[in-house]
Amino acid sequence: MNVDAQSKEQAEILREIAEDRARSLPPEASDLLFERIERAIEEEKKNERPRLRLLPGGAGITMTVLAAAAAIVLMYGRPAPAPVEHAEVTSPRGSEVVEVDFGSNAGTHFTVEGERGQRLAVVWIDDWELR
Amino acid sequence: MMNTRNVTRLHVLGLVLAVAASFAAPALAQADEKVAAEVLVVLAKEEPGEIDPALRDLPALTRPPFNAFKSMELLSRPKLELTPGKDSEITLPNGRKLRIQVVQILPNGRFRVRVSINRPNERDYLPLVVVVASENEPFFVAGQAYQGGTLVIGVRLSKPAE
Repeated sequence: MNVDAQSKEQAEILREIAEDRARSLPPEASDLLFERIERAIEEEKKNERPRLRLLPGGAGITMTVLAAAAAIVLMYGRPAPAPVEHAEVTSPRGSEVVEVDFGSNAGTHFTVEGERGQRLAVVWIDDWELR
Repeated sequence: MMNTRNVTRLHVLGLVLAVAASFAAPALAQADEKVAAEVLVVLAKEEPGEIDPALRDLPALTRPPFNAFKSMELLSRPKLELTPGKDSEITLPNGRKLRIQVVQILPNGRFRVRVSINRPNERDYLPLVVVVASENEPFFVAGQAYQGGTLVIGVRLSKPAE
């Protein structure tokens, strides 16, 4: 017999014994038993404390150093974000204008449809200098 | 001889360096990653004529307002290898310079690109355009007058083939 089958059989025997005992228990004894169980649960709730553990000194220092290292790396290890950023739509396809400065010229920007329906950015500047 | 405390300190230092390296590695890799750029310099005119067959893979140029142009000639198609954070320049037919820089490769693989058009020793013609573009998805800068027509510049970015 393998282990699983043996465990199942043992569990079945225990269940039968427990049911027999429960049937043979007088109602007063049963009530008393439940009262004791409920009281024990209440006691346990009252005695419950926040589970704080004191880390050994070395571990505490390690955690502090790791946190500091992570903060430093996050601040200096990553590329700096773009200096000026307007609303950016992060569509997975196409292209879009995030920022435009026409200087002293006039211009506009818009999108045209690409071959798969994606939006493609167009910046149009009015070339008054040469006209 | 090293005592237990020194050994522990060395372990902590090693761990910190490993964590730092794991965070910094992607940033360094990104700075080294090249981006291929293809710039299409097109002369578009309202007079009837030919549409350059090389522009067939850009149907966007047949849509409004580009459809007002009845002829299009591909003047040049320079290819650049861009290093993120560094400017590259090409000279346009009108003498101006198109400056382009990949500012950042975004986590979703898109490119944040900065473009400007200027002429040496003169004020900027188009000081700044920042575009976010997906790989092989072009964007256009149009409107410069040239030889009785209009220059349409298309820029398409991709990661170089490995």
